[in-house]
Amino acid sequence: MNQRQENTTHIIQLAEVIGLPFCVSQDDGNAIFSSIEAALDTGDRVQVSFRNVETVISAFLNAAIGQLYGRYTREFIAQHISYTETTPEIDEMIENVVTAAIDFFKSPKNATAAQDMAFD
Amino acid sequence: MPDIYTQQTRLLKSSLEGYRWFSNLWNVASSGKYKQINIEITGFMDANLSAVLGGLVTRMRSELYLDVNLIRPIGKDGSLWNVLQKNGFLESLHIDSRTRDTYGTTIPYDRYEPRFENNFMKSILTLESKQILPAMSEELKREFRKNLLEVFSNASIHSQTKYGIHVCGQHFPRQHQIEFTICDMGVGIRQHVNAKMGTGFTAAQAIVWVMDGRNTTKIGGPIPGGIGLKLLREFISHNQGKLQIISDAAYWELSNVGTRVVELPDIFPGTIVNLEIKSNAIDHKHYRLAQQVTQ
Repeated sequence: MNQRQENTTHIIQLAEVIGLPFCVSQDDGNAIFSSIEAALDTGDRVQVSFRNVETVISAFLNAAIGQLYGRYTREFIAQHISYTETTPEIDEMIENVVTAAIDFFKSPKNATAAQDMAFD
Repeated sequence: MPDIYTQQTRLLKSSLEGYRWFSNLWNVASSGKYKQINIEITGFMDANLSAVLGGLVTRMRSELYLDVNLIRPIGKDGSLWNVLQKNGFLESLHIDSRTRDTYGTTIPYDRYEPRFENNFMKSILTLESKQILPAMSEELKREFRKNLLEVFSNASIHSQTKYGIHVCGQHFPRQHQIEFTICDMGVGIRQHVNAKMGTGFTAAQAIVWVMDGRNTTKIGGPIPGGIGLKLLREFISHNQGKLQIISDAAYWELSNVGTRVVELPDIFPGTIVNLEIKSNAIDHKHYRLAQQVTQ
C-alpha cells in the first residue's frame, strides 16, 4: 500500500483543469494549489503540465506554486513536483516565483500564516 | 448655493496635468456642494483616459448620487465625441450610442469586476485577433499582454474596488505608440500599504515602496508576491516606454529618463496605471536585445 502511494504521480494539466489556456488568476492558482497539496499530503508526486497554456502571470504562479514553499520544505518539493511542457519563459517565471517564495517564507510571520492556513 | 458645477478643459493628455485635472474633478464632486456635475472637454482627450473618466463617473453616480453629464461639444470640436462613440465609452455610461471605428485605432473601453482576469484576457486576445492592436512581434505582443494582466491582477487582488476595474487603450499610429490605462476606484496604494504594513507612508512614499521590486504587502499571508510590478518595470524599461501610476495624492512615472514622483494637491480616489509602449520595429529590436542580454 505504502509502496503504491510512493509511486503514484498525479498529472495536473493546467489548461484542462482551468478550462482555458490562461494561467492568469489568483483564484485559479489557489485551486491548483489545493490539488497539488492534496496529492502531496498523501506522499504522492505531482507533475504539473503546461501543455496548451498560452499565458502565465506571476499572480497565478504565486498562488499555485509559491504558496507551496510555506507548507513544505524545498527538498520535499524538489523531490515531489516536476514541471513539463514549459517554455524557457515559463521556466524563468517559475524560477523567479520560487526564489521570491523562499525569501518570503524566511519571515517567521509569513511561515506561520502559511502553516495556520494549512491547519484551518 | 449653486447646485450645478461645470468642470471644463480644452485638452486632456496622459500627463501629470491631465491626472491633476481628474483629481481636481473628484475633489470638487465629493465636496458635497453640488447635485449635478457637468464635464465639458471642448478640445481633445487621449481616448485611453476614458478608463479614468469611466471610473470617476461611475463612482460619482454610485457613491455620491450625483447627476453627472458629459457636455457634447458642437461644430468642429465634436471629434472627441466621435472617438468616445467608437470606443464604446458613451454607450457604456448610457450617454450615447456606439458607432463603428473605420480607422481601427480605438481600443475599446470596458469595465470588469475584480477577479475577472480570464474575461479580461479573452478581450485582449479578441483585440489581437481582430488586429485592433497594432502589428507587433509575437514576443512583444505576449509581453504586453502578460503585463496588462499583471496590472489587472494587482488591481483585482489589492484595490478592494466596489466600482469595477476600468480599462481603455488608444493606438497612436504616427508615433508607433499604444497607451493603455487600467483604473480602479479602490482604496489606493497608500491606504492599502499602510493598513497591511502598519506604516505611515505618504501617497508618494507608498508608491515608491511598492515599485521597489523587493516589497510586497502580502506579508503575513500564505501567498507570496511582489514579482508582477518588478516584471512590469523591466518590460517598460526594455521597451523604452513609459509607466505612470497615480494613486491617492501622488504621481509616479518611469520613463527612459528615469523615475519621478510628484505630490498632487488633490486626492485621486483609486489607482490609475497607464502603460505607454512603443509598437514599432526599432523599439522592438531594442526590446529583443535587452531580453537577450538578461538571459
